Amino acid sequence: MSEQHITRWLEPYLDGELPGMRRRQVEAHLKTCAACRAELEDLRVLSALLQAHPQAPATLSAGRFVAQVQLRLPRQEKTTLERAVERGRWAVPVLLLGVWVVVLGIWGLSGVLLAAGEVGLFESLGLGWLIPTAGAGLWPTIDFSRGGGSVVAELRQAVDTLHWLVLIPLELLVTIGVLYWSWLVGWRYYQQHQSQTNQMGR
Amino acid sequence: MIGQPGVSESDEDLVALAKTGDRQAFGELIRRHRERVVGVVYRMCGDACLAEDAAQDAFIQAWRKLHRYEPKAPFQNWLYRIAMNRALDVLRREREGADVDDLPLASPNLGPEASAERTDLGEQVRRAVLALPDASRAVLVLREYEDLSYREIAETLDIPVGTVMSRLNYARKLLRTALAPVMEDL
Repeated sequence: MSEQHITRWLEPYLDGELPGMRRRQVEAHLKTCAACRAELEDLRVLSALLQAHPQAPATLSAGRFVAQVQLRLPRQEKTTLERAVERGRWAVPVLLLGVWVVVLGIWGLSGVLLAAGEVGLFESLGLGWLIPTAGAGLWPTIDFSRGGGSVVAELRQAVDTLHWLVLIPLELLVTIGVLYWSWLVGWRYYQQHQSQTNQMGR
Repeated sequence: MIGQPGVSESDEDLVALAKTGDRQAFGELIRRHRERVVGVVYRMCGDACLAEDAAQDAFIQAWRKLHRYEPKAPFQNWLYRIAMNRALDVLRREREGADVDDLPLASPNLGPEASAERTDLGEQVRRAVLALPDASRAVLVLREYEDLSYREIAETLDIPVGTVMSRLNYARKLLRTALAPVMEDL
């Protein structure tokens, strides 16, 4: 077959895959070329012949086929998000509880050290360097000697002590509690939403 | 939507339900696509019993991987992809366990008229298709029997469009040779 023939385009033409311009070129060529027309006819005959391929002889009825598959259906794989949420169910409260315990422990220890320093325990044990000094260290410390004895100053000192030793841990506890309950409420809502979606689908 | 998923719902709606774990919605999808999926596998492996088993496996695999399906392509084409892979697995397994000549060129459950049927046109076509190389046969089956476009075949089999064209051309060339006597009689 000569180079002018368009045999390479005949199959895409037959399959309806040629764009308009190329299709018109092929059609124009087919009007003048008997060899390409014969080739196209062969392809058409083959395509028609292939339709004689028998259908798969069904050994199972549709209902039985569906029932057999449904019986074998395992649990679906969970999405990454679903797996993360599942893990988070336990990880989030445990993490919050851990943070609360650690922070409260450090706070408690700090309070004990301050009180011990105040009564001179460290100095008597030769551990004076353990006494926290104002402005140094991780945690804000309370200057118990501040105030110079006036009632206002003593009141202020008492408020400071109350604030650092009681209120802040309490605020922290409340914040962690709120976060914990928010997570539980969110989790409950997610579970209910999942079960409602499943029920609506049935 | 309340009640059983039915014929009025689109594949996409049923897939969305099935993704939430709704087995009845998935059952409706199986009912819709069973015949075509079994047909594809049958034309790939040539054995009706194997085809039904492989098609069942394909549906189970589809159920497992349903969360990965994105409705950019028709659900049916996604199923074809899984079914084709299952069919190729079945063929590979069969070949490992048997001589190539033992592969089911004739359907085992043809019954008492088997020898007569083997000579008929449909049987000759079936044998010719089954004798094609797997890769070419997969492309041919999707084009000739499932009427997929070149692009859809490329996406289903994860190959370039150019490869689809060359495999189809090769398959048709082999078939024209194999079926030449039949074609001359037509």
